[in-house]
Amino acid sequence: MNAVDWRAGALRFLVLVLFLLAAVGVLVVVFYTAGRPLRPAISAGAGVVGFAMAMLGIGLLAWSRRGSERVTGATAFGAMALSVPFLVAALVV
Amino acid sequence: MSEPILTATGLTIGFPVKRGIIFQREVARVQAVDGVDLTLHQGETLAIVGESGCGKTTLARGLVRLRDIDAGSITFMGEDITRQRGRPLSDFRRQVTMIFQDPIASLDPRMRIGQSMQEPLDIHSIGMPAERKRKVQEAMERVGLNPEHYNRFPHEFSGGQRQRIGIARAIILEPRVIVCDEPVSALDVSVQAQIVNLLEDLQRDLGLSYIVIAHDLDVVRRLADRVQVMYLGRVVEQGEGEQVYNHPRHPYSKALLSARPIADPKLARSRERIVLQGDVPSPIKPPSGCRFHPRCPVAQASCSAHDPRLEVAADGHGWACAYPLAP
Repeated sequence: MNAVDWRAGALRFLVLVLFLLAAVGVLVVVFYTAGRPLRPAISAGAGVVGFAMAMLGIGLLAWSRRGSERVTGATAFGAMALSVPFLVAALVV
Repeated sequence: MSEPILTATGLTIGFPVKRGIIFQREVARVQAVDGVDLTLHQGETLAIVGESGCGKTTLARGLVRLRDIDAGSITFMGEDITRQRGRPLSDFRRQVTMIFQDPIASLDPRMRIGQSMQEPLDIHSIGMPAERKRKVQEAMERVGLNPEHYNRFPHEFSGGQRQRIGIARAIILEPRVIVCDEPVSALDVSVQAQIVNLLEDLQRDLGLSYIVIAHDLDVVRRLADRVQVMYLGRVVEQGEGEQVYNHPRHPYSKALLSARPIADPKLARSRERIVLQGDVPSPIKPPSGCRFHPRCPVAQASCSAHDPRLEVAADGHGWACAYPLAP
């Protein structure tokens, strides 16, 4: 009853990562076609997605602290952790 | 009594309570329906009554296989349909249809009602297109709607007319059983009477069997041959309508009946009223022993330890109570 369904979880995680990468891709195309060079466009795209994930993580943390049946602290910190690679990519590229 | 047309044995339906979004974990289970037995005979009306949240609608949806069943079995005309998929399930759904509680929500606002009613015929590939339209118009006429309104949208009808559309849609496949999930609770009293009369007429003319889910006990008394009373996912009393209404043996049935409004103020003042204390316990963690004992006016110490099973007497009257009321 209390076991985590790791297989379904991994699948959902993969879908989320692909969705975020696709969002970065769309933003890169938008910034690039708006006239930015490629590297700043990638940096901006990754930065926007990373910032959005970090904000989502903070929101989820507030939600979990308020007492949610569904959203846990792990979910919130997971979202924040997922923002890190995008933010790093935004700084490094 | 004729052969049973629909039988459910030990039907159990639950909903998982999950934590987490990506890596989800089931932390509890809401046992909405817990080991319900039910038998419906040809041409009979079986009513299922109980307060909000007792699992009536989940049971109804489980019976037409709109919800997955955790345990137990459903037999329709001798055939086990509990785990069937594909064609056999489609054939079953042609024979057992449903009338939904909310006539507004059960109709697509963007579809003309003719299209809505024709959809079951399209799904089951019944007749040619022109024949389907004729069938729809016949069904409309049968439920007291003007067939010329075939091309109207749901918002152009009153609440009662919309429920008639729902009934027409349920009978268009010529089913054997209709599960009516609170068919009149969203309607005003005068329209309720019209719909109840319509359901009775259709049963007489088409030989239908009904399972009526309701919390309006007067509607149930009028329609039902047999009644099952549910509390917290379980059947606590069952029997012929008159047995349950006139001689309730389970304290919950008695309390439910005593809460029924009576039009005559003198009569209302003179009758014994049982007001239950507290709220319905959580179905996630039901009370130990008898599920009704924390609210029961006649509970004894042993009720918290002993879980009474539904014992059915030879006359069909059954109750799940260790200290039943005198008849």
